[in-house]
Amino acid sequence: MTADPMLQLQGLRKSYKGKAALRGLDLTVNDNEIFALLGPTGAGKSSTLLASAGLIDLDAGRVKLAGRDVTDADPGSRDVAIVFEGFNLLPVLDVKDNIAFALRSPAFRESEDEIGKRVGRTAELLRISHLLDRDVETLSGGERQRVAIARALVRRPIMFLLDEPLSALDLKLREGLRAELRQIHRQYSSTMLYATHDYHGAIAIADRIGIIDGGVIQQAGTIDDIYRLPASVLVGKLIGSPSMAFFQAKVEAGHVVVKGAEQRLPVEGFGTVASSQGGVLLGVWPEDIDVGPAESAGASTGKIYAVDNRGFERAIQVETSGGSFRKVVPLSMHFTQGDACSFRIPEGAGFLFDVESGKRISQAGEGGR
Amino acid sequence: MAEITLKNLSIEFGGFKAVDEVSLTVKNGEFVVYLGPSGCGKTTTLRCIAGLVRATSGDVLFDGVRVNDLTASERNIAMVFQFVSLYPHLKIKENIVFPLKARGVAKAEIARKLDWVTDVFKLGDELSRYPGALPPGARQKVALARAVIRDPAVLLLDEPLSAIDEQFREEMRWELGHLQRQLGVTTIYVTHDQREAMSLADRIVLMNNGRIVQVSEPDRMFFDPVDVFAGQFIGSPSMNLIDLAPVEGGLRLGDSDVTLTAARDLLPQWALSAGRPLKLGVRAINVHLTDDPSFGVALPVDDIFSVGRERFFSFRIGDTVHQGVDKRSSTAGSEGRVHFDPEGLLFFDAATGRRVGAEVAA
Repeated sequence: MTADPMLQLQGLRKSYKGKAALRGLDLTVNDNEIFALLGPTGAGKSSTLLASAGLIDLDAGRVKLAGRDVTDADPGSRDVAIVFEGFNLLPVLDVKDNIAFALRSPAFRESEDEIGKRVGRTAELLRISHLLDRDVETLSGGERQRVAIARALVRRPIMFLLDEPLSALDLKLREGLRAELRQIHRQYSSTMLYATHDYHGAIAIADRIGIIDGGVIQQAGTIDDIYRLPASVLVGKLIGSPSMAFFQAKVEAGHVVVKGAEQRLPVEGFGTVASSQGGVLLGVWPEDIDVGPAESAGASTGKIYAVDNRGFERAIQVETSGGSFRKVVPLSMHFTQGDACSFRIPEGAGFLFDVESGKRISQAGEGGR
Repeated sequence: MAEITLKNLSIEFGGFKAVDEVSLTVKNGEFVVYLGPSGCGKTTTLRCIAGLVRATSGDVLFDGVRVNDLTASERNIAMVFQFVSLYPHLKIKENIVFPLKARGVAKAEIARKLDWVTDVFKLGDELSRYPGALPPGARQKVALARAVIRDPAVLLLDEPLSAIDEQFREEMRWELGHLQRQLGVTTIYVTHDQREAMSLADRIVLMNNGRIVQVSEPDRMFFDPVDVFAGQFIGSPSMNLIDLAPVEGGLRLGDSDVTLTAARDLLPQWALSAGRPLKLGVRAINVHLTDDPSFGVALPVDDIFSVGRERFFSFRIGDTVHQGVDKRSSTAGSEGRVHFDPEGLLFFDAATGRRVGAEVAA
């Protein structure tokens, strides 16, 4: 363990033809950590990875790897491995030579004997030993992805940069490979920065998550940290399955009044609130909302918009006059589309957000669970 | 809309049986999803219903009437593909009414139909825009509106969401489920994504190697798979599959020295006495950790990790890693014992893969 974080990005700025991709991005990835960069398409994920690898010229900001400032260092000297979605394998070489490619470069100059050993061990780990003599053209998507990871792994870089590495694969393959990445991580104690737009992918693999949008990190922390105190509406929309429920509401005489709902929630339940009057957005994790059959006492009424079966549970989308939300319910709750239902937001559950900026304005101590 | 029946349908391509003796009735207004790996015959079946591929033998019936010899355009089907093809030079409104205009439907009728789809699909501002100005998800919705505006006998959807970005895909899935029930149109949908199938279907038709493996409602598909293939294809993470040998006093797990004692009683006598190797299928949600020494079995626990608010763990039997879900209230650590829910145990014949010892859906 080094005392320094493995990767430190400070104030990164980058524009492409006048369009800003990174707008002062700060990020720290600790040694031996899997860090997921979660955000929608165009959020700045790829630029962050490319900047870390030294593959783009930054307009401003510093990049440090293991405490060393590498902002002006060329990509080859950074000792990081980047794996793209497109696999970037060399079609003219077979699998074995693709994996060995970097080891044969002047920077490594390993003996062929050693190269063979390392390629063999890596192939075994990724269960592609039987493919070593095949042309990469003849491989399936999942096999190619494993070869691409093997090629990165074989030279034991100080850090992996993985750009949506699994998104082109089908669900089953993705799950298998996620488990493999965790396995590799445990065996090699490697540091990984993993960019994805898939919430499930991010939480399945990461120790910590950074929510990225508009070229800056909106919030970084463990999934529990983010659940406990989400920084903004945007974070709420990207986290959770289903994601956070939002209701139009207003603060009135010490209460939060939800539009179209029966409930008046004491404002103290949200901790200190920056603005004491006026319109706000109430955000609640769906797990915290109680849903039941229609016309339950003290609850508000909603309507089932659609039902989503998931095997051992089902999710429902409920329309209310203050907004719609989605929630997982047990199989014993037999809702069908068009049914009326009741819902109740427990006192102290949820967070208040500014309507304009989307920033959280409540300092809830008990808002999350 | 119509009831669609397939009777012993087979489709061969130069000796290769792409579809092998498939029989099924899709009820009026039902949402049926054909699910299976690539090459299982699901798309070929759909194309045969559409009239784009000829049946080698067997029949396709619309409301009891044989349509084998009708062309695609004579069958009154509507088909939506993975890649949307809207006319780029026409406004959304003109795109939607195009099929009606092409058939010379009266103006007043066109206006009435347009009002109806505008209302159901919640289209407003979009109507006067051009396809290029809409996001992909919205374009797919327009394609769907155009498909249903002329009351097709059946709506055929071939992986309609697979070309859409993952972040919009879930939105579209909710919307599609909602719309189909609003419209009440008989719908046949093809996908390789079990999550999509579970989410949308009234009934799932699971196919493999040209044959139907199982036809069930989503819940039963999950809890009552007919064989190992069905059990493993449905559900995420994949069902754990463990070799099982009947031994004195229990069932031995893989090559471990651990036996499940009570589980033996769940099996019929013939399965035990036959001495045939079995496989145990158990989903992660039915495997837990416990620190009660009188409960569960001792198996090495590798890793305990959180996914959102859920805690998963992995455990090993021989060289194979399996997964379980730790209950939220659990305090058990990696020294804990592994407990299998009796009601979550599925037994399969190791040789044939068929389910053993339970009444299962066909």
